[in-house]
Amino acid sequence: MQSAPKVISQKVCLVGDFGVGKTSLIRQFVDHQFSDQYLSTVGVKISRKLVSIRDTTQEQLQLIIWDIEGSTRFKAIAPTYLQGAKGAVIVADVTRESSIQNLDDHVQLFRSVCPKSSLIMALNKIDLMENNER
Amino acid sequence: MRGVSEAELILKESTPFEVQAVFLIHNLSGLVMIDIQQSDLDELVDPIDSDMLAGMLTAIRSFANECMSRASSNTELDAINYSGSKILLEVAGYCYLAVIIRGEPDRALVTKIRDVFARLVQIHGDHFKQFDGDPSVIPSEVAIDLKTLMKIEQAKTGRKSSKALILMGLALLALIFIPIGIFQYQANRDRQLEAKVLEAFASTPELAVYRLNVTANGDSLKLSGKLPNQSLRDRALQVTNQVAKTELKERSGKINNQIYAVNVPPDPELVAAEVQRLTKVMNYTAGVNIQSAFNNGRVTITGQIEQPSMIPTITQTYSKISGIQTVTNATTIRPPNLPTKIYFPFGVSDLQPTDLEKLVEVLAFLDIYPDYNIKILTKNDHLGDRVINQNLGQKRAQTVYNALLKRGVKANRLHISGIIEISAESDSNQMSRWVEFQPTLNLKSQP
Repeated sequence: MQSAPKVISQKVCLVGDFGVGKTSLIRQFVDHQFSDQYLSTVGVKISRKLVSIRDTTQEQLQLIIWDIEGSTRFKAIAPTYLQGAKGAVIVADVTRESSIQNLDDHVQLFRSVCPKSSLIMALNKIDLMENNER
Repeated sequence: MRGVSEAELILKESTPFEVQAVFLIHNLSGLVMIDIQQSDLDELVDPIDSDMLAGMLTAIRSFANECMSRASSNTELDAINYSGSKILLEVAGYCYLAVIIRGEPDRALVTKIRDVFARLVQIHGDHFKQFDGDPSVIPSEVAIDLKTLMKIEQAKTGRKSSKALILMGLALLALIFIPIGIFQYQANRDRQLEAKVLEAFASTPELAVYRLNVTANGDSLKLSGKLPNQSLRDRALQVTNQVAKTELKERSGKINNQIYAVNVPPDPELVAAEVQRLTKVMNYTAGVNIQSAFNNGRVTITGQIEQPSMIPTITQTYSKISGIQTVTNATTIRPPNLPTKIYFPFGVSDLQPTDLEKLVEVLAFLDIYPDYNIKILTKNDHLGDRVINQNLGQKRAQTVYNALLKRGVKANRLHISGIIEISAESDSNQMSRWVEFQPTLNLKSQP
């Protein structure tokens, strides 16, 4: 009888300015669908994504994804939400230059809270730019 | 401003509660370290998405702590209430415990949660610190300890609390109804005893006409009321003793006789009638021929009585009549007559066989009249020598005397008289010579 795979959970944060498409990205990643609705509770929406690692069925990685609202209203609270994250995705909207300019602030913030954690930057809405170019 | 009243607190604590889930959550990341749910024990219960819940709880805690820390320091969110349920949050070190409870937990459960969690942090603090998303690094003892907070514990608590309530209720009912039951049983026994004694009074003719009260109270039986004399009072006590003897013995009880003997003034007409009735009865007695007069509580008795010993008896009998204060006995003694004569033939002093019957008459007299002795008299005829006749008369008296002694008469009750009289009869036949008897009052019976 095959035993259940070991599941390791990790916290990943989605950070970025308001309206850069963080929630849409996570919806696409988690549920493979888009939504125009944005859940705003205490400024965090939490999703989960189970992924297999190292081509083995013995271990699985459960990503607990914290979609942190980009509103300035919660700016002072954001550092607390970042605590304990193993990684972060800093998102910017390529159609909004300010969001790209603010990327550095978000990186600095995340590094200050989680200096040893991984970090990637994602430029969203590239399709809109391409459409514009057409 | 209004606090929680004691009644509300008692009501809250008596409300059943149920621990639905216990989560040990990493303090910073919000990742679940241990997840114990009711669904693990009961398949019918839907599981809670622990990862999502842990994340949101962590976010909410962070949000609340950030907001509150602006106002004051060292604040911590310790509970979240939502529609009849509660999430208790206990924070220590690198993790916090979230316990989801349906209903209102009592203080005992809260204390238990804190004790268990504090012990776990103390023992396994290093493992909690090392947690990096892999639940397997958390020792299994942690889950075992946390399971004690789950269903078994809450069931025990629930049962304990409802059991305690039932016991308290039963104790309260017992406190109320047991004394009432005992009181009613005792009261019934008392009423039965009272009825029994009253029935006995009603069945006793001399007491039936009087209104007497009987009050039984545990070990005391009280008699009250009024009776015309002490003898009736004693009679009432005697009747009660007979009837209630067993019950009083069982209760180790006593009779409290508070019946008053009062002098009820009798009806003078009834008293006079009773005096006359008694006089009539007395006159049926041999040797009694009396009359009586009643006036204003006094009775005067006149007439003749043969036996002196009857006088005090008659006086005493009249004095017993209720309403008689004094009795004056003015009766006189009338000695009884003994007409028996024993005749002798000429020159003979022996008794003839036919004389035995006469001796029996004398013996009977002496039996009937113990107050009297007998004087033996001899009558002689005038024929022959006077001296010879005197001797012969003496012999005849002595013969009768001896015959009576022989038949059991005591010598002191017989006396031969020395007087010899000559019969007035001129005939010389047997009827002119005899012995006769004269009753004489003995000294002891003389009034």
